[in-house]
Amino acid sequence: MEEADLLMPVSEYTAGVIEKYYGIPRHKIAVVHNGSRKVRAFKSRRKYDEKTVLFVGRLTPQKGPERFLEIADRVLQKNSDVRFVMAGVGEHFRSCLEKSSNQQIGNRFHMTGFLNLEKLRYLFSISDVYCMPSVSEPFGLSAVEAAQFGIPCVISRQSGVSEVLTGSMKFDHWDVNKAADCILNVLNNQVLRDKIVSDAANNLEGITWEVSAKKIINAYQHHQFI
Amino acid sequence: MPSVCFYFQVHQPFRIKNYSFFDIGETHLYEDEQKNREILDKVAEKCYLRTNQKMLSLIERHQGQFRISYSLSGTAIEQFERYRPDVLQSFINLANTGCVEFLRETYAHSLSFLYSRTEFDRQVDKHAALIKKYSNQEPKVFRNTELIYNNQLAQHLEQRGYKAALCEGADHLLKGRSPNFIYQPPEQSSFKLLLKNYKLSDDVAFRFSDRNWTEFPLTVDKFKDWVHAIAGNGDTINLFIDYETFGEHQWESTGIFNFLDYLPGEILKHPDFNFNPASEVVAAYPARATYDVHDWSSWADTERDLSAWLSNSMQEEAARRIYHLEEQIHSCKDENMLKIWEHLQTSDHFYYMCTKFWTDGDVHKYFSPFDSPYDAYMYYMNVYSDLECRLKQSLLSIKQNVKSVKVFSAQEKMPVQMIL
Repeated sequence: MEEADLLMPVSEYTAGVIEKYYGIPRHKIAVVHNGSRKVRAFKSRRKYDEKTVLFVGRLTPQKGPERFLEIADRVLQKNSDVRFVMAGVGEHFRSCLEKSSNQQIGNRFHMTGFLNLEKLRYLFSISDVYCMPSVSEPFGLSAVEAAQFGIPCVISRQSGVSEVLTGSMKFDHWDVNKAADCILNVLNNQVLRDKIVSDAANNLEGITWEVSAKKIINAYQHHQFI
Repeated sequence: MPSVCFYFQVHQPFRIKNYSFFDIGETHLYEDEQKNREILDKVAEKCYLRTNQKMLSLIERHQGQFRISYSLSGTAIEQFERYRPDVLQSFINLANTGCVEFLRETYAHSLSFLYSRTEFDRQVDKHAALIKKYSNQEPKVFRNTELIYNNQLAQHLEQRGYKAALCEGADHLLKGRSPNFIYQPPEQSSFKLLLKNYKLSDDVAFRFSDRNWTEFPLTVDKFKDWVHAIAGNGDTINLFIDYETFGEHQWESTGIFNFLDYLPGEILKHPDFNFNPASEVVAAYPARATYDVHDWSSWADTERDLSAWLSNSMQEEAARRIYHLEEQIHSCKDENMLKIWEHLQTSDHFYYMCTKFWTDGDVHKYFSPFDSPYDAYMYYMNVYSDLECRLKQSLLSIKQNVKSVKVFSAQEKMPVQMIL
């Protein structure tokens, strides 16, 4: 990084890490947020009554899967009519399954294992809240995908996507209470929910690859590459 | 005059399929019918038909002197009815000889005594009715799932009119005493206990074909000597064995059927020895001492406790949840739901979720239809979730119907009972 003339991280969050931990001067850094391809979103009818909170990601410490369990536990203490679905595989698969049984929420916590795109989109189409409790997330494209499906997102502040998806509820990844509170409120309060979803829809207009490309061109021009 | 008391356990669970989260609300077929049928077919050919035929010929050959006991789980009988009536008929043929006793157990081969006495009693009664139907027998001897036992069970069984129970002859409970006598639980005068002689039983069930065993090969001569050595120092030698030992766990090529063929004749050559089914052993001998079992014991794994089914959080959560549905299941009065609930109580489901990965882990793996204990738990809980949703809907519609009946009856001034 020291040798490079220009660094283009995908978020201010990563830019901060580069500056703080690697000592790279700020003027060499130009943030280019990820874009996202438009997906054809759809809604499906759930096959059960309970509202659904979704987690999608590799089950590694960085993604905070165990934090998701703690959040689920906290939510279920207040409202038992919610199901939590964890989609993905990884080193924490078994420990998450064991932990869910240990917390005695096995009846409301489901793990799907690896999913193909079709199944994943189906999950988005039935979910009521998307939760991304990442400990450290350069960007977090899955939250954008969730927003495209019109799902309100409850995401950790330690993620790049939280910078562009302002129509979302945010929490510090260690703050389980706040995350649970956000989820409960989004589930119970239609006004709040609608507002987040419509704000996120506006955000999505700016989260495209065209916008990213323009930022790259600007950065090149600014640094006189072209 | 010591008796040799053979008891054979016959059991098959209704295994569930890889029921994913996406199946919830989509399909209510939980059982892996194909697998259940395939396994039953395999065991029927390798073990049940073959061994039943052998037993029948031994009974005929020894003219009433070879007498044995079985316990058939309700789920096994249900599978025979559904897939292999010929196997069921072969057991009925054995019952008709008058030399074979069928013991009582819980219908679903379940852990119900640990979670609900009412469900336990219901299952025991259901099993008793099934056994009466096919064998016309009403024995008063009980064996709980995998010989799970403690003093409380004995007390409960005695109150229900039973005379005896089968249990493991565990070293730490026998404290140097012999398993070859009848024992009784503390503070119970008439109730009797038959203790498994686990050494001799497991010599046949587990070690018969073990080439690393110092006594390999196990010959009839050798085994009969061990049995005869008990003469004068025991009333009953309780050989409690999984029936699938014959032909399935110990393949035909090991010589297990020849062993079985010659064993009764050789044992009967000693004039002091006879073969008796459990009820007759209980009637023939007095209890000699007390067998005090505070903590649960069983015949499973090296620990001989409940750890095969209830030693990790997944097993505990799954079992706790399924028994928690009891009241709702009975409220919805749906025979099909009741049957599903019963099948989900079968102890095997929790056995598959066991994570003890040492010696016993291999045994668990051998029996499990799943890739891992985690898969077993995951699919079981998905099935549970679907069942829970259905119950909720069913109870809701019952409630709504009751409401509409009440409105109707008030308007028409008709007695509610007539409409109902």
